[in-house]
Amino acid sequence: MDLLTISDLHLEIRRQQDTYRILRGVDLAVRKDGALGIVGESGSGKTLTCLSILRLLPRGSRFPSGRIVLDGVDLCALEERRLREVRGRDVCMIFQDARASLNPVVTVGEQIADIHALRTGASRAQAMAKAVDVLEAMGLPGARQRIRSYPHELSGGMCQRVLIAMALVSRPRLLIADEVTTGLDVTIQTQVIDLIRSVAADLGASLIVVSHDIAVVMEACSDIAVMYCGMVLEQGNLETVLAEPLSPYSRALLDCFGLGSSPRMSCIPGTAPDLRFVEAGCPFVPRCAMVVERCRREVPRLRPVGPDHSVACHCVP
Amino acid sequence: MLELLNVTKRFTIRSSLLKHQEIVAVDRVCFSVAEGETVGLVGESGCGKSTIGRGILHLLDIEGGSIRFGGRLISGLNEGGFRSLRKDIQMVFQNPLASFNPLFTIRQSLLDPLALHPGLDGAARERRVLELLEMVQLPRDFAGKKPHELSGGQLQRIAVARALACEPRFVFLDEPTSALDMSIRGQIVNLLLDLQEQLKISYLFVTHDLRVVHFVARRVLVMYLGEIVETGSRAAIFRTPLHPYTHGLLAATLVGRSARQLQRQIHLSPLKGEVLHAEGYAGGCKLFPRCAYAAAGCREPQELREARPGHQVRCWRAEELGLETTVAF
Amino acid sequence: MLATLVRRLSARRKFWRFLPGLVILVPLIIVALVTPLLPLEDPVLPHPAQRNKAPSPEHVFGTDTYGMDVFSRVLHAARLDFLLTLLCVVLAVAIGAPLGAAAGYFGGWLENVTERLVEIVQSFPIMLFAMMIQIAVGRSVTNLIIVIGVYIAPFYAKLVRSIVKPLRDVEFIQAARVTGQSSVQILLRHLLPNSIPPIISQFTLSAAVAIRTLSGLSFLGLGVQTPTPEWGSMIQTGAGWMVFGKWWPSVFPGLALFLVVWGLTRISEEIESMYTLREE
Repeated sequence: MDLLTISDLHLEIRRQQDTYRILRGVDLAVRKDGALGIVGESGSGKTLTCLSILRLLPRGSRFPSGRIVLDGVDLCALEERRLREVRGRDVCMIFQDARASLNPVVTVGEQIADIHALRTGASRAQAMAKAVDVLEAMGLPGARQRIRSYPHELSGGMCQRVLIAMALVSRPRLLIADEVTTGLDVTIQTQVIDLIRSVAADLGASLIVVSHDIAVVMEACSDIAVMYCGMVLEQGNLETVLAEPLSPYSRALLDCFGLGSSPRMSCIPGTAPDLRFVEAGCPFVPRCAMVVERCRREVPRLRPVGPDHSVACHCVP
Repeated sequence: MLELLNVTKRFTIRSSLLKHQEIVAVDRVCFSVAEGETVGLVGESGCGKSTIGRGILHLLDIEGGSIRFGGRLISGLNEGGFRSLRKDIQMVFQNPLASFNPLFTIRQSLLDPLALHPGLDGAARERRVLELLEMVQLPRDFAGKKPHELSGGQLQRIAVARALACEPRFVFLDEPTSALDMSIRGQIVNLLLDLQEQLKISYLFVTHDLRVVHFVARRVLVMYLGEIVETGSRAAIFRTPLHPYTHGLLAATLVGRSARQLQRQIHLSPLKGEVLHAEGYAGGCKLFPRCAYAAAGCREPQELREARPGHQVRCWRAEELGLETTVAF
Repeated sequence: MLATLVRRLSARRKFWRFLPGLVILVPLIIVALVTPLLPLEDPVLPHPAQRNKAPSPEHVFGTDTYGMDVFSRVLHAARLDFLLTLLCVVLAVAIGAPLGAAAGYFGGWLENVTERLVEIVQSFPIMLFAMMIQIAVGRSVTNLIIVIGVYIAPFYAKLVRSIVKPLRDVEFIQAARVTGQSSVQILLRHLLPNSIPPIISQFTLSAAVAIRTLSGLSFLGLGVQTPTPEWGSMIQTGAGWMVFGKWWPSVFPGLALFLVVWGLTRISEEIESMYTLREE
């Protein structure tokens, strides 16, 4: 049972005479109570896919084509007013720069309380009490004093916890965490990811974790999608995909995380293509080791190759 | 070749509107880098690794201790005196796009360091620019491009080319791969390794990613909040880390030979909480508030001592704890 | 830098945004350049017989109290005003920009001293300042330019300092130090060129300020002296006659002044919005 299905999502952004084809037919599915990790590098479109769900698109974006169905409702077809309700109530997103996501002139306690009051109609006192509870649950020591702190007084990791607390009181059905661990010290990252996972579990919400770091996805998710150049090249159950990555890109990318057995570090030669120019065929062709004629002509589409495993590649049987 | 002895640097920051706090960014750090060697400097934010680099490169003044290069004292020099050393001591920065003047072409950016090289006239410099591009495996027509036209990986190669323009003997690399995509990091690392073989340069390679250290460094220094907490050979640090902080870093690193074997043994980490800068620091071990093995004796000042030949650690309980990593490196 | 600006401007549809400002300014500038070649009355020769004549086919803007043709004087004044304005702004940038850059880069006592100087100059009422200088050193056009240039310079000092200060710690500046460039080289080759776009976008605005100040001082008798044609002083000489219904000696130069200031302000606003949008 899927909570969220994205079908054939396309997105273009016009910037000073250039058109960037950011998303080129994204297909994704998130199960109810499931956790999907979206892995990809810079320019793969993973963040914009999530922003498209909420239609929080940058200037110059052409309204996306495709379908985004959340529990039966096509978000792409909704008008702005209805979509606003979805944004606060059903879907909640946490971003990378935690401190920048918080209002610098309001204490963190008030920010959490505001959301809680908005969602439940609780009184000010009740909302502040809830804020204290929730901050304690986040593992923040001295919560009673912390609610009076301003964002600039807290570290990056603490701000991230405040955001997670705010997500918790919003009680969304879908929680999206976009590169929330990037920039945090490596010893803090796991704490933050564990927290997000447990919050999602408590809420009975589905989770999407976007990251360029596979370690983060491994710890939080049951499913994985690998994106490159605005397309999903492989998707499926996390263990299945990691045990046997079929797409040449996934394989190459995962190898970069491993230590390998040679004294040279694994990498993928070449550079990701410029998103302004659309070449025919598969975008990975210039850097792929397994190119056949068909790869240059035809864009591969995601198709199932196992019970919980789909791949977009012509070279996979 | 490069020697740091008791180098200390303090900064004063405003922790709130009225309070000024003094932070010891680098606290009596001692180490050396031999010719042709790569030393990996590992640590997280606030450990002082960037400050050390800037001290070596004479971008800031250190307060205590000394830095020697080729036996010669360089830490007390003024800019004029240091100028002649600039061609031997170079640096690569973390953020490739920010390390180039957006108005300059690549050619102009590469010509700048060549001004340090005596005896190269105009035509020779132009030739050298093209040589440098070839050395980092980039096409010659990149010389006319501007920084914003290139990708992060390509720019970082040019940063390496710029650092090597005058054939330095030592290069300080400040997290050169941290801003790059996973699939590109290896390109830079392999390039640096190749060039080191050819040109016999020493590297001080700063990073927080232990995987990169594994490929690059033969000796590793681990720093925490301005102090060196452990030093040793790569094999020693990765297989038998003695300090709880090192152990925590390793546990937090994703390891495995292949994709199938990737795992992160975070549950083995003895660290909890956040890096706390100087809050209530009373002179003992700086890891005390976070360490699972903290005991009464940890409040005493800890010295860096040689626990095994070539393997130093700043923890009195190191042998007693007998920590080991279980993942094969 | 300028080339990119021009290229970007002319190639884009956005060019038409500048039309209002340019439609005003360009003809005036052309006229100012061409004036000596036109068959005009001598702007400084008095004709007592033709004093205060209303606009007519032979004197399109009428004549003033000395019998000089207002139309001719307005056009000749354009030359002077444009030239003086240009010199004032160039001087202001030449003084203010390097000072601001040095203050931002070196900090310390240099920055403190610069800040104090800026405060002093800005708190001085321009009129008082002009009067003092003129009394001390004598009245001349050169002194006038210096006074106005110094008056506007603090603006550029602050502007450039605010750009240079954060750039001081940016990696490419550190890289420049690592490659052995001296502070002066860094200031000239790296920091000032990166300050040019904001300087340019403020250029026209300063020009508007300069010309207003120039005319204002002339109006008060502290600037250009009669009979030299200058809009401000022309307004002043004609002001007394407004009561008697002789509106033309003041109104026409006033109109010209207004159009130029408005045109300059419009253009500078458009340049500014062009650069803020680009920040995306």
